Amino acid sequence: MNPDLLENLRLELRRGCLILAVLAQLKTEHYGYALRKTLADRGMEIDENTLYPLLRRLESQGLLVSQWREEDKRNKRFYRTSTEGKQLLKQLAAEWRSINDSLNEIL
Amino acid sequence: MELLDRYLQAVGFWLPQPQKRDIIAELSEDIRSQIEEKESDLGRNLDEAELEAILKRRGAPLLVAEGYLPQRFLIGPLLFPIYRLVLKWALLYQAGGWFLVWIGFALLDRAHAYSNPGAAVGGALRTLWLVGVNTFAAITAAFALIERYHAKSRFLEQWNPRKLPRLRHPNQISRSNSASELAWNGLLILWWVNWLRVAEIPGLRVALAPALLQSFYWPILTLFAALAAIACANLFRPWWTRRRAGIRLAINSFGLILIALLFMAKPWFEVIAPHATTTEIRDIAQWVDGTAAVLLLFYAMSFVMRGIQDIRRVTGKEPIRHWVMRLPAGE
Repeated sequence: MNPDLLENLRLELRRGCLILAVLAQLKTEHYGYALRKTLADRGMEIDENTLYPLLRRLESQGLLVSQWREEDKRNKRFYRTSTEGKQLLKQLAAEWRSINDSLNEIL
Repeated sequence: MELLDRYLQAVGFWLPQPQKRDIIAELSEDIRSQIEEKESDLGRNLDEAELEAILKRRGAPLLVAEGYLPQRFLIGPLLFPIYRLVLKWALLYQAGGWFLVWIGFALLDRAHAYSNPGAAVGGALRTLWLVGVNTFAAITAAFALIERYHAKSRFLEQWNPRKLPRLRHPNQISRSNSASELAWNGLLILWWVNWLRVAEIPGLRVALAPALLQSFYWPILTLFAALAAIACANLFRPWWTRRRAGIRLAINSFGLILIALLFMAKPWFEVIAPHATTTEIRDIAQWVDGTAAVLLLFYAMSFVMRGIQDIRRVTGKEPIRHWVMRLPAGE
């Protein structure tokens, strides 16, 4: 099998889940690097070139809020899920579970 | 850390001004956190090669910046297939038509073409290039404008399944094509037997050359009549059979032989203009012959394409469905 094809399909499959993972993880405040590490530790590795543009997009959609703050003598941008983001997360999580159930049955 | 600053500067170059500082600050923070973590693992500062490896893994500056930029395209994925089709047709028709015209004139003005073949070909390619570039630019600009404004229209939501084109079998013959072929060949017959007069310009008469009429009158009339007859048959029984395809193959082969013979029997027309100079008469004759040559080349191309389709039908194969073949074959 073509390994590139597998990799492309794998990325495509994971792309939709990333938003869910980010919104869920950011119920607790994180800065970008820490968020990436936490997600990776929990098995959701995300490329930095995907994560940061995604964080900005979600923020511009009102699903995240952010603020620059100093920590360990360095300025870091902290993100957390907004109230609107939390409501949407509930709906997306329900959708995810439904898809997951259906897929489990099909597979 | 000079390398890191250079990297950040290169990324920043591509970023939109209002968000540039913010994005660069965050990117810088992320890379510095990564460096710090690596240094703490190693228990020493990173050397230049290790920093270089980190930056290389991040990706080229343009690639990194691209993630932050809004998706923009001149012609989007929705319109692109239509754009490609229109461009292909326009370029093929323009280049093909122009090429035939050029061949026609090159055949007519052989003295010039042979005396200076380099200049003739160079000039031809230059014109062809300009025609191509202009067509490409005009079509691209038109589609870019549609792309810009079509988002507001909802034309794709207003489609009707009942208006989709009917299913067509490759051996089914279009009745409208047959009707127009019949009408065209009927007009040609009337013109050839001199029942249909083309309006004349006062002081100028263009007539078929007597030598041409003497040798080709009956063969050409037979060809026109045969083409009209097959068009008539196709109009009333719009379905290709092996027999009918074979008959058309024979007619088209006859037509090709006639065209080849005609090219060896020039001039085809004689120009009678009592008040014109010899040069003017020669120019008019060249123009008329050139137009006829182009028309004959179009006919020849169509006969060849039809011949290929007919051979396939006669031998029980499906005709070629590609439009490049079907269009000149009049299908």
